[in-house]
Amino acid sequence: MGETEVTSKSPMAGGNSIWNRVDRMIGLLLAVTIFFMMAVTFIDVIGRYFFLAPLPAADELTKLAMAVSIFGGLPLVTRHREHVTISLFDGFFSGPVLRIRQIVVDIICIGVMGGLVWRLILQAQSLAEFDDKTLFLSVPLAPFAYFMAIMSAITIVVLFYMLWRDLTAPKSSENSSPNMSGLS
Amino acid sequence: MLIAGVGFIILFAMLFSGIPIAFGMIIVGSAGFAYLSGWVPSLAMVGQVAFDTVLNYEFSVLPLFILMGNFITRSKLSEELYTASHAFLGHRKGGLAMATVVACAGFSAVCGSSLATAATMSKVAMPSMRRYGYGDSLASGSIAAGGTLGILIPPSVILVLYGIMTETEIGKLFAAGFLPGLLGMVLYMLSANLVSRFRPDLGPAVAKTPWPERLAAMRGIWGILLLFSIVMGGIYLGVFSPTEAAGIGASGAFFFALARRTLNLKAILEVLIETGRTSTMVFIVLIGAIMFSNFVDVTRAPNQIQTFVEGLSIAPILVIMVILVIYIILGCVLDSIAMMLLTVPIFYPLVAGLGYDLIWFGIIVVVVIEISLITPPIGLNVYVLRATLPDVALGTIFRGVTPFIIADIIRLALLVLVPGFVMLLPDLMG
Repeated sequence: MGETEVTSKSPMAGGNSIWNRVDRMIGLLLAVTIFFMMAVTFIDVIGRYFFLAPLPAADELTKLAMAVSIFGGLPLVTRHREHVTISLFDGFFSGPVLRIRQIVVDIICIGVMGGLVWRLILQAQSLAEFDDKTLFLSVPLAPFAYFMAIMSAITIVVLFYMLWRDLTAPKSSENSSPNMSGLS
Repeated sequence: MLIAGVGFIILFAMLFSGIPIAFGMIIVGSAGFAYLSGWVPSLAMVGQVAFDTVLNYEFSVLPLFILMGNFITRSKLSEELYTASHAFLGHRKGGLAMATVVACAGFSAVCGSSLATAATMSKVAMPSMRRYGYGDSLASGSIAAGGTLGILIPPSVILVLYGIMTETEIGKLFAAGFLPGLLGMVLYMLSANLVSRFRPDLGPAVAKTPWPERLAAMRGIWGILLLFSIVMGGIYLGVFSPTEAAGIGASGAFFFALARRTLNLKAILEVLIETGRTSTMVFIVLIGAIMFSNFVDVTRAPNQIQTFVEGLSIAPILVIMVILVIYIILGCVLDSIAMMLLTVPIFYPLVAGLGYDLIWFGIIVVVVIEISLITPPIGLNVYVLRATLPDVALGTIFRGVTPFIIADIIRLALLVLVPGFVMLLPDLMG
């Protein structure tokens, strides 16, 4: 039947530049949280149906892991230009126009992320102020909102780096292949 | 109404000029909300929606089902699926194309993505069909079309998103997708068979596989049947919530891939990171969609459209037809997830007001999205095949999917005219 290995490029960045190292570190964090989420649900369900002993607060652990994995992935998705984008009309534009467009898009994304960081910090502050905790494990929620804000801030740094590359790149557009959601 | 319209126009302009969908929806959603309700509530909404959407236990169903699909893809089950269906169908006219469709349907039962189904099956089915002298058009067409079953046969990422946006039960949506998915499979098989009757050169019959070998091939696929039965059976019988089922499914797929020795540490890491990235991508779009939908709600446009349409006192079925036409047009220009998330907030109050079940409507929306995945100009499944089979021309694939698009339209008509077929399984769930 031949080789049926999925040939998508490895999601782990090679190379030792600071970007790739951070990329790998965040990737590892993602991997651990996703695996944790799977394991928590598995232990909870098996415990409940076979040993009548569900994992206490499995739902709390899962939802905290969700926050870490979803916002943890944000810098990576941004760096690899995996945000869902409509590319239908790209063919109508010439190289220089596409490049200017990419620069404008980068700047708009920086603006949106900036707004998000601001609101998440305020969210975190209000969670801290009211001392909001999860019901069962009493895990304080504010640090998770701060984590989301920090990851969004790292995403801004990534966007600035991409903007800088778009500004200085010698008219290459190799990394601007837009992406539709791979989920359909 | 006017404000919602302006919001949609600005949003479309942004999306078509290349702003990522999530960011466009966040901008228009929060600005529109601010215009109607003031900046303070709007900004508060931004932080709150972002935080609440990710800190959500029920929503972990998405990453976990994505994880399940990714582990299954790694486990190379596609080969066994294809071998088994080949053994049973290969000797018929167009039999290998039919086998491809069946294998795609089987893969869809453990994977929630059409693109992954098409990409995975193309690597197994295409070389085999070529070896037996199948025409590239029929071969690639059957894979592209068969792949679309991925989002209809449960689990399905799109159905989960629909369930979140409309607050309908995900378990019932999954149950509702099952029969229409099988119907799709049968109609695709008929198409492949008919094409091969008219053009025997495209889909020659191959030697019949003897029964001992058929039974041997069946042994290769027990794992997929078991996993599907546990996950979907568990949801259907109410043993698991969809979230629990997704966790069990992901763990099962993990153990399964381990047992088949297709995983080492590096591969496990890759699957987990890929899952994390895909999940992030979906959730950012979901966050944007919720903000945009909040804005649409405060414009009261959905109610106004509903009142307006009810005032026309035309047959509900005509309204459904108009909605379907809108979907088919949008499907030509929009990404499938974006199309679903943008339109459902507008349409679902209307559809519910006309007396249709929202579970049924979800299935109809997904079937229309399936069609958009194989129609020009942006039929994504076709482009996936183009990427995995660089030597097949885009035109050949689009020609190859045409008979399957006809099958899709027949199926859509049946499902619209006989809603009871869709609702049979979910109604039995109680």
